[in-house]
Amino acid sequence: MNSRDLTQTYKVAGDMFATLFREIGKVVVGQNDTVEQIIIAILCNGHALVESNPGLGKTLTISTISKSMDLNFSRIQCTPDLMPADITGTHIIEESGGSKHFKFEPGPVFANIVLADEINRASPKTQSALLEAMQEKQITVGNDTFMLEQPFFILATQNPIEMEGTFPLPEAQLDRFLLKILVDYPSYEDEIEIVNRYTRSVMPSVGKVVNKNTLLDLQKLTRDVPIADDIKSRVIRIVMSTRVRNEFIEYGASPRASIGLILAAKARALIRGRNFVSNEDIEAMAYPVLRHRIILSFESERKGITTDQVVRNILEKIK
Amino acid sequence: MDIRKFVQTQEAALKKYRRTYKLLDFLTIFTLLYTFMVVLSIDQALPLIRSFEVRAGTDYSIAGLSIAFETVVLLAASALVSLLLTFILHMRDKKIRTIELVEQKYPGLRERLRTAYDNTGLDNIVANDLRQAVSSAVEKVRPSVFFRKKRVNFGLIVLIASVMLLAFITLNDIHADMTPGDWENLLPFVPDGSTDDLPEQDDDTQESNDTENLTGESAVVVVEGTEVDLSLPPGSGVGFSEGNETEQDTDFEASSSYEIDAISSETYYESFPQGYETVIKSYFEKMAEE
Repeated sequence: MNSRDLTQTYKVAGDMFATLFREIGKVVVGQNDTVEQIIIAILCNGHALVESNPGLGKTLTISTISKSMDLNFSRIQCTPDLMPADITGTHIIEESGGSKHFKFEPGPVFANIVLADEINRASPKTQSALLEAMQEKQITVGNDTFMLEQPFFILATQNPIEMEGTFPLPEAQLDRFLLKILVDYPSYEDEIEIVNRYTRSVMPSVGKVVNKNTLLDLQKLTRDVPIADDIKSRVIRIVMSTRVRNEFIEYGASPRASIGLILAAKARALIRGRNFVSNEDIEAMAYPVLRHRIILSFESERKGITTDQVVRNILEKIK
Repeated sequence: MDIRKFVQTQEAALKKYRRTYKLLDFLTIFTLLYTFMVVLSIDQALPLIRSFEVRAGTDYSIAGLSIAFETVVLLAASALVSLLLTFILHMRDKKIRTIELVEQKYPGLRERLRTAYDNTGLDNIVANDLRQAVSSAVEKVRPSVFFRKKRVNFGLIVLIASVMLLAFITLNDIHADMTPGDWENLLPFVPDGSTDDLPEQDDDTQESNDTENLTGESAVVVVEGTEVDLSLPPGSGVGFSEGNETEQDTDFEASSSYEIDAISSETYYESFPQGYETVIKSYFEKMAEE
């Protein structure tokens, strides 16, 4: 990647994002925040956990994004009997020329975008198979380690209802998700539009806007976005304040949250056509970055307080 | 324009402006305070202070002008108090945050200027683009926009008004009719030099003084067969006292060296209050005639 390509990408980034959102909007109705946050996670080279009730278009959204970005997309439907080898791949015996030898058959994790649907239905053993892929961008099968192709992004979904027969993700794994995105029901107008679009004979399709190399350029540019010292300091103070145990918080966020919040804010600034991080970016990204990293106390759960309320309270206090 | 240089220039200008506000406040407070002191005749209270008592009424010649000691003290006191008040007034002044001020004045630079300033050492496409944009934007910023003209104008008006008030008071000799005695009554804590202020003597010392025979043994000499007592009478050498007067022989009539008549004395005239010489003179002449 040379600097001339990067400069060119930077110059057209604004238009590129506008076109990307427009193309995705042809298929996905509303959910602008969800789409933006998924793209932010991709730009940060992170992973996202999407939580929503069934039928809100999680799979459609992520497959649309992958198509618009010209990336390989694979989907894993997680179930309790799903085995790690079903994700990572396994060695199979291949016969050629009268001899037999083991050949590695890659699993669905070998893609640019992997959708792990209903991840909390998979067993902890299978869930942990994703850990190495998420953190190290590689997988190990037996004695062999395989590097995953870049960009690599895991989008996991989970259902907040029907908790029976599920395995909640351990904190260590939750921390590896850059963002936890909540998808809400669409508005009345959006739902009318959804009904109109998906009851016709012609289904909406999406065009390719960003190629793989351009996406890598954009990931590099995201990290280049400068941030002021006082905003950086605010981020640290926000994250550190989650570690102060009080009546609402049992455990706070790790330093990974500080890194994630700054990176996510940088990506948001780039998407919004800014060449600097604003406080507005920090405030917008604090919720998806922190909400799965804060463990609420029994008292706050009893009172029905959510992590978003705690984050809002922290943001109001730390200016 | 280099962003760090821009911020330094703005900071220097802001510091200069702040010094101007402080100076203006000081001068206004000083003038008002001095006027207040003149009106209240604080100078009449100065002789009550022991250190100033001896210098009261002294005139100093400074650059050909004769300035009374009281005026010098009032000016110095006003300056000192004004300095203190100005300090208190500006004690809570916030530290000059140049970048914040510029960003407030120019919303287009909000968060951009500080980011560019903090990342002057960062060399990449995005940071360079930001620096370039900010540099061209700050070229239009002039330090004079941060000069608070309204505040300075108001300060100047108050200062001019107080100077005019002082001039009016001085020229028309307007002041409270206070004398050192009035101040003494008003300020009971000022020491009046009475014996109450003196430290108490040790009782043992007093007793020993009463019993001690200071004159010692009687000195008697014989002159031509006659004994003459040379001992000093009690009270001798310590001035006149009641005891001494009682010891005196009163078998003679007291006489004056002067005729009982009206006499003139230069000393009376010298100490006459100005403007009352004729009244006093006629009073004494009338007394002499009677």
